[in-house]
Amino acid sequence: MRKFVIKCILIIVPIYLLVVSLNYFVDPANIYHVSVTDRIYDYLKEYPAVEVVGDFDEGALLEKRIMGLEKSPDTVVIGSSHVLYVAWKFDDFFNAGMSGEFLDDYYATVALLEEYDKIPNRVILAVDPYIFMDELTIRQESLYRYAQKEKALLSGEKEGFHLQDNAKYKKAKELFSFSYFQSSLHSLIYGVSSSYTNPTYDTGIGEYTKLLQNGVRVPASSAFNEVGKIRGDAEWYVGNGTIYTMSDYRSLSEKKISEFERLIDHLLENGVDVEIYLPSWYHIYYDEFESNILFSGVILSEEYVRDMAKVRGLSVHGSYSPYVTGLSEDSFIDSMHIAPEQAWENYCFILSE
Amino acid sequence: MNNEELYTKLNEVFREVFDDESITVTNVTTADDIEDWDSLEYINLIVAIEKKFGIKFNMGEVNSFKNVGEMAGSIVSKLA
Amino acid sequence: MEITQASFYLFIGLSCLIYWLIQPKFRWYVLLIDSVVFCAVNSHFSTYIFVLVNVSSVYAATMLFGVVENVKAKKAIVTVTLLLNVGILAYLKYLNLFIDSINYVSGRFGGSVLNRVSWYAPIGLSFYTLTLISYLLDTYWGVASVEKNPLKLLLYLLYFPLLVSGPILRERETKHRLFESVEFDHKRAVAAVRRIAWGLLKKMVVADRLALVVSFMFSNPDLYKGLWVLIAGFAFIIELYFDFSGCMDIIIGISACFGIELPENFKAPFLSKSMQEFWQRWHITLGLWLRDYIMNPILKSEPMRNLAGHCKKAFGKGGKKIPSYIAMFVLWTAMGLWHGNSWKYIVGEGWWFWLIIVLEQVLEPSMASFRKRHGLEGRKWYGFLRICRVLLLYNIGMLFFRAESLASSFEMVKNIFAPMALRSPAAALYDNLWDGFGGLYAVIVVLFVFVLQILCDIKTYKGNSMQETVSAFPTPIRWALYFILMLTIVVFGMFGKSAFIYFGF
Repeated sequence: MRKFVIKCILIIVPIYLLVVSLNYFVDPANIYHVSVTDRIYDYLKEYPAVEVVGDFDEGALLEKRIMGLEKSPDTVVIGSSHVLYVAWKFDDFFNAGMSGEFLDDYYATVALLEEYDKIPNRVILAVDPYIFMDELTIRQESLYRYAQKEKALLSGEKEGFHLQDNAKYKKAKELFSFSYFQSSLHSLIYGVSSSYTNPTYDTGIGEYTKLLQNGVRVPASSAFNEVGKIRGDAEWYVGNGTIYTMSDYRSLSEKKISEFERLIDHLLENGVDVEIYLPSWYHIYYDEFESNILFSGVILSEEYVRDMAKVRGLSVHGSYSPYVTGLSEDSFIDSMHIAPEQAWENYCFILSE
Repeated sequence: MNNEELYTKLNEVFREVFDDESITVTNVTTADDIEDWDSLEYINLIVAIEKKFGIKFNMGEVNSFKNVGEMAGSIVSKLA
Repeated sequence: MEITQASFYLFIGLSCLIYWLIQPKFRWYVLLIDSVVFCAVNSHFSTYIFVLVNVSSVYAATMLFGVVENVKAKKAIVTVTLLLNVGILAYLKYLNLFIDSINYVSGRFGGSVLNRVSWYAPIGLSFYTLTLISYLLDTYWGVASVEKNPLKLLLYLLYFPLLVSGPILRERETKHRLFESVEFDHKRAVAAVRRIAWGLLKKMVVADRLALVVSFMFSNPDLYKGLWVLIAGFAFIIELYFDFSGCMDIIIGISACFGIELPENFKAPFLSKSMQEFWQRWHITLGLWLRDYIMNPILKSEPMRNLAGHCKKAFGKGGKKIPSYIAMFVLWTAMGLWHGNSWKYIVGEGWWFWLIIVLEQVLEPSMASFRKRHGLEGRKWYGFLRICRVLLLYNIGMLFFRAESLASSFEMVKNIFAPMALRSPAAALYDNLWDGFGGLYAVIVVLFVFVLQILCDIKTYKGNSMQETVSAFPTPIRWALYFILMLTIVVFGMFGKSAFIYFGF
């Protein structure tokens, strides 16, 4: 048997060696190299936008940006990429959105604002339906400790240590990941360097990741897609049974609801105005949410948020339903995102106060 | 009943069920050896054997016979 | 913990180490613990109750068989236990089908009467229930020995490699192997790991990739008409075959790591020359189970024998087969039902194939003489035509299997005769899937694996073994192949969420 074990090791070890080294050195999502975030931040101090090729640590960037604010902004918007696209043309406004935020990311953002003493007068909280799913915790791993600290602070409990949640553990685990290896290989072959950044005055939407005015990030696939392609994409996802992170979402997690309310109440208690914004979904998705019981959680979460807001006297803008907010198919640049100009048109009333 | 008699009778059954006078079975004959013997004919064969020898197989036995030899063995023990 | 995850193989590796290092008589405990852990990780807590009821009822019944003399009493025991276990399966799996059917009827008069239920079924329910029934009936009929140790029985039923996609076991074939450990054999271990790797390749590189294409084509029935429907069906067949047989390779390989041989479920099915032959080569253990525990008992029953007698009198020789057609109908209904709680399975995976096989049976005498007259037996091109015919008919059945519902499957079949476009469907495929598929390299790899599998199947059909052939390669070539195999899985495997098609049945 020894011979067999040795043979197995002789094959498995070199393969993993290859995987780990490529993952570490190519590192397309910059998990192990932070130089990109520093560079982006430095550029943003001077230029209105930065062109970034490849992924970067949005959490680390947010921390830097909040840290670097001169004073507390009047309005801060917290939410996912649904708000990143909106060119909020306020004065004294800070867009703290990050891609695909879950509930713990909201906690982390508030924690950062408190940490660096930049709590604003008003927070616009863009609420996505999936934040109430039990299994979704945090998206930006690097902010994990902030989220945990804030949660412990608000609940009065001491948050336990879970290896699975530890950002360092997750980073180490990713070194062995085959899917990350495939991304690294792709980067290597197609010559995309992970640390390529370029300052630019171009504030439009282009090929690569761009940061617009005020550091709002626009992901790479955002070429304005044709209506037909968007429709096809949406139908494909619906056919597959998974829309963004949701595939079987029938009830809201009690735990998440109480955490959500606790966060809002915390902001209200500290004299911050809170307004809720519900980003609309693409028609094909919304139709599926309404008709398929597996996505009833979306409808339930809108009902819940409205009830919760009514109790506390908070304004709720928008709706998950694009029919209610009057969006047409043309309003979308891909199946997940509303076109910036369209969103601006619809929601500038929030800004008008 | 001795072996010769047993197989004589078995041959009669096989020839009748499969309508082929040339069939001769041995203890290692299986379904692969006889053209029309498939899962649809198998039970017809079993029932014919039961009738011929005046015995009854239970379902478990029917499902577990691997060849004619095993059938023969079961027949013998039931006649004893 | 799915069998495409690295953590699962860590689990297997450690288990194997412990298994082979401890004394032979304690080895099955390792398997038992592994199986319990596997169940615990993969099933909802509430399902354990069902598992316990399944196993303890059968244990009690089989123990009683040895004690109870009265034939009627024995029959009562087996009937009750059977009903209980089948009832659990029906309840967990088919309640929704029943509810849907009721609602369909009531819908014509107003609205739905019943709400659908959602239950968690234990992992492997459909598979181990059949193994359980087989064990119960075989012990009742006296062709299997009763297992007196309840833990051993538990292991026999919940042996973890089987919980993913079978195979369905027969007591006399496998049970003893679980408890009588053999010597570690280097050659067998190497063959086992090779088989697992080959299965992973088929599943993760080919099946999961084709799933993208199949999903896309089936969600756009308006775009894919005419021959495209058959192309989509064919893509699905490849996906299903590589997924399911890949899964079997992994399962059989994993079991072989512990020295335990499991029965095969596939024997080059697509080289079959008739639909009947196909079903003797596809999902073999299920076919055998249905034949032995449903069709044969029906055929042998009094009513059927009487019918056989009447048919023979009324229709002569031709009438002899009528009872078997009826019994087959029941078998195929069960086959369809087993696959899922939807009418599309019963029609497409059941009755359709029943129809084809009956037609084959009825036409066989005339076909045989046709072949003789024109000297077609043994002609390679004619054999190839027959294979194509089976493939085409199987394709139609699979359209039902994969489509959303019974209604949409009929739509798809109708669409085969609709006019077909060439450019925009092809362009849509390219635009939407080329990148996700992985581009040209991925296509080459998929084709390569596909061809290799065909070669493998040809060898199997002739009774040879690809494993033997590969073992005979010179060492440096073998090792180079192993590295290439592993690298291909790592580079081209569709990592991310993936579940075997038959997982969760």
